[in-house]
Amino acid sequence: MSVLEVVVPVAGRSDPATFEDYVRERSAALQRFAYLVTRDRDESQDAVQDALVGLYPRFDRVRAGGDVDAYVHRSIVNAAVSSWRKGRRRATPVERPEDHAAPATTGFADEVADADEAWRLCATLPPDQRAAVVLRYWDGRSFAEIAESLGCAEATARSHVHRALSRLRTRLEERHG
Amino acid sequence: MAEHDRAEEALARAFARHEGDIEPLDPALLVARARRRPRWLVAVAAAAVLVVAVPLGAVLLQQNRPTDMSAGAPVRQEQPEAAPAPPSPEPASPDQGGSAEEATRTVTVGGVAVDVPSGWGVGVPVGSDWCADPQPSGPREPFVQREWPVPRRAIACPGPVPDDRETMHLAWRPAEATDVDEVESVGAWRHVSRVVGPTRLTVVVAAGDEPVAARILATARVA
Repeated sequence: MSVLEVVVPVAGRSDPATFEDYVRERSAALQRFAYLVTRDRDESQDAVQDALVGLYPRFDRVRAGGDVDAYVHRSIVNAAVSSWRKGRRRATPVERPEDHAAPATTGFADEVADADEAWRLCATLPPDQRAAVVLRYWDGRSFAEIAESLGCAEATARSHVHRALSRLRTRLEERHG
Repeated sequence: MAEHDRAEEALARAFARHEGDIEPLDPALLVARARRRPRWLVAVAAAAVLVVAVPLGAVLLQQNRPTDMSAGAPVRQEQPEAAPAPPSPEPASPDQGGSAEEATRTVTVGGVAVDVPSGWGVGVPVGSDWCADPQPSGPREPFVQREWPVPRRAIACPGPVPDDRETMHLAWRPAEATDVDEVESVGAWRHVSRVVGPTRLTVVVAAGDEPVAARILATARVA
């Protein structure tokens, strides 16, 4: 079975009635989303915490208005983008030697090598583009939902994803000759 | 498999493999932190009470003045005995200075959660390679050092960071066995350090602001 087939369909998610229920049900996924976007444990925890602090006093209104996850995702992505902009002086993280997978030939090793290549590529993406890819291939969101989460046009969400895919395709082709 | 599908599969696998890199925090902790009323809100509420109460009190006193007073005569007003002072929202201890009601946000560095003023950003402290930049660079507003290790160029600059290049900030590094809580003087700045769990936290403040640093460090706890 393709790994893409096990991504949780959005339509199957419940609609928690209270802030407490929402956090209980969704906080683990939100923290994982934040980590995949920020790629930093501490930063991801702070981003989720700040997003929930902002959500708490307006939970009922946000819930009545639509997708609560989209609101929290947007807060997390905004925090990641803000941190990324402030940290431009920071050096680009150096990949560890073990991050570089040896060229694989076929089968499972090939899939692992592809996944490693994808993970390394994501490190080079701006946070909003990375978030679009995470929402698409980890969270199973539609482009319309991604656009809502990022606060951008649907065409922009598509562009984020397609550009990342294009770069990854090039890398995979280069690796496999 | 088409190359396009393969790239999508690779992304999905990458995220599936790395989503478990973190151990999510307890939802109850997240709820408790979110519910915590910001201190500034308390201060605003107290200020609003004063704004309303003081003019109202003045009006009431004016209405209670004797009607047979001649103009310009000195008026002696009775002070109510043991009149309670307006309740302070959070009594300030001597070391809390005037900013006890400052809004804070929780940041996590090195596995330690710390409450810092909400306006503090994120940045990289100026360090041993400070002379590499002809013009002063780096954050000019208070900030939190997010990363460890801090990237430095291999340059031996003469002396410590000049006073005018320093900015108030929270720095951290993994604690060492010999670390102790201490205050170090570097020019016009004070480096107030505390070891919390696996991490040594240092708040760099201008001389005289050590209580601010102490207040921040007092909030540190293992996340």
